Amino acid sequence: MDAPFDISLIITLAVPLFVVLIIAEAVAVRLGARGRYDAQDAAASLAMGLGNRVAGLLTVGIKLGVFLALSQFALFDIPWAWWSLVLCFLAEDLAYYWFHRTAHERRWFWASHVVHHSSQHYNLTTALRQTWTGDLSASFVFWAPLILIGFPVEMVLMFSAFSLVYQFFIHTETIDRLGPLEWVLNTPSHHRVHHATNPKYLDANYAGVLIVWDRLFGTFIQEEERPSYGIISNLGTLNPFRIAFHEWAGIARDLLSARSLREIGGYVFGPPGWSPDGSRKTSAQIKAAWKARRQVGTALEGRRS
Amino acid sequence: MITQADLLILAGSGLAVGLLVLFLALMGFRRNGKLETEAEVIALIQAHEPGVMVGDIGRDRRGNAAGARLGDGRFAVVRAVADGFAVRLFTAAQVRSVALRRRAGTPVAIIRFSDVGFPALTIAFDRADFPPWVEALRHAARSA
Repeated sequence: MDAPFDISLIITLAVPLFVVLIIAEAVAVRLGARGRYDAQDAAASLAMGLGNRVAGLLTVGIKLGVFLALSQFALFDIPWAWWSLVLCFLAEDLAYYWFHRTAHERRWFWASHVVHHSSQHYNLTTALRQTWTGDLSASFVFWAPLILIGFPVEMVLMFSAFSLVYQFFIHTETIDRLGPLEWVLNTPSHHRVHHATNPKYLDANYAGVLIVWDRLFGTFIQEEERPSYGIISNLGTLNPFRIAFHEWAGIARDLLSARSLREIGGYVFGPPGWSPDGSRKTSAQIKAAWKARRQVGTALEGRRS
Repeated sequence: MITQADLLILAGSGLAVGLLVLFLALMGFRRNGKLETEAEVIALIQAHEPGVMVGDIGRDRRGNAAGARLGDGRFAVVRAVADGFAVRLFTAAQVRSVALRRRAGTPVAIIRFSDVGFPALTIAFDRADFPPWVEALRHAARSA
């Protein structure tokens, strides 16, 4: 059995649905549903999405070339069958979890992924605020093990595209909780936490489709207080080119000031916010400071009572 | 290789994006953030870093931006971005240049940051003189 359809059409065919749902969400927000829209911010997000499609067309050859080369060394020749589809879905989602977690923990990958988090809004247009440099920075290496195991390249790309389409739906504030599905699936509530800059929410909920990976690897946080969206140092611009390249420019600037191999490594592959003198703060440090403040607050409350 | 079909899809997507943005604007989602009071500036800076001391605030006369000196010697700026605000707390070393001008008697500061994600900020102050923090920032940026 071969790929059942042209997988390159998955995203293309989803675009009209995206447009209809964005209109529906905006109307709902105008009528009083929870959520926030701004035409300028949405324009920036949609421009990033369009640029992502252009960049994808120009750079997808890199990813395909690497995957096809790797497939020559595959351990198994896995066919298209119901059991391999189930396994590939799980494996792709696990690969996404580790890609996504690394994209937050290592500046090389964060430089591309930060684009997606750079809006202070959280609505369906935010889902389309995507990087232009993902393939160029070799983000696809996280899916390479699947090809080496022997899953067909098209099968991996198909589930990757399905995951992207699924994740569009969870970028919304208009849906609150989804009952028992919250245990298994990545939901709007879980993903709101992921996009939040509240210290307690930092470094959490990296899942693509299944939230079970976060529960398994200890990165799950339940939505409690209202999230505040964006990044630690929010951008002061809606210019798509500045949004796309600001972190890369930041890396280049830091490299010019680096004085040792350790500093070069830290600036490129350290956590975002790393600096040799500790003058900047990583998200882990911000979260630790928040926890310390909270403990002091709790201790003082205890003494008062 | 990009095919003619790809270009057609891209053109269609571009048209859809344009119409979508127009629709959102017509729906009324086009409010610009405005800093009305100094208390608002303080609240935004303290939301960014709880407990930080904020003083010597200088606000743009149209409410587009504001700046202040912090208790620990750093500086802060707040700028309107779409319907919200972006806050930056920084040292003089993170500033590329500070230019001070007078336009029709109004003191105007143009602060250029080394961060590509935070373009040059122009503040036309709502007072007759430059607030002391701007002078201090210019001096510190020169010697940094």
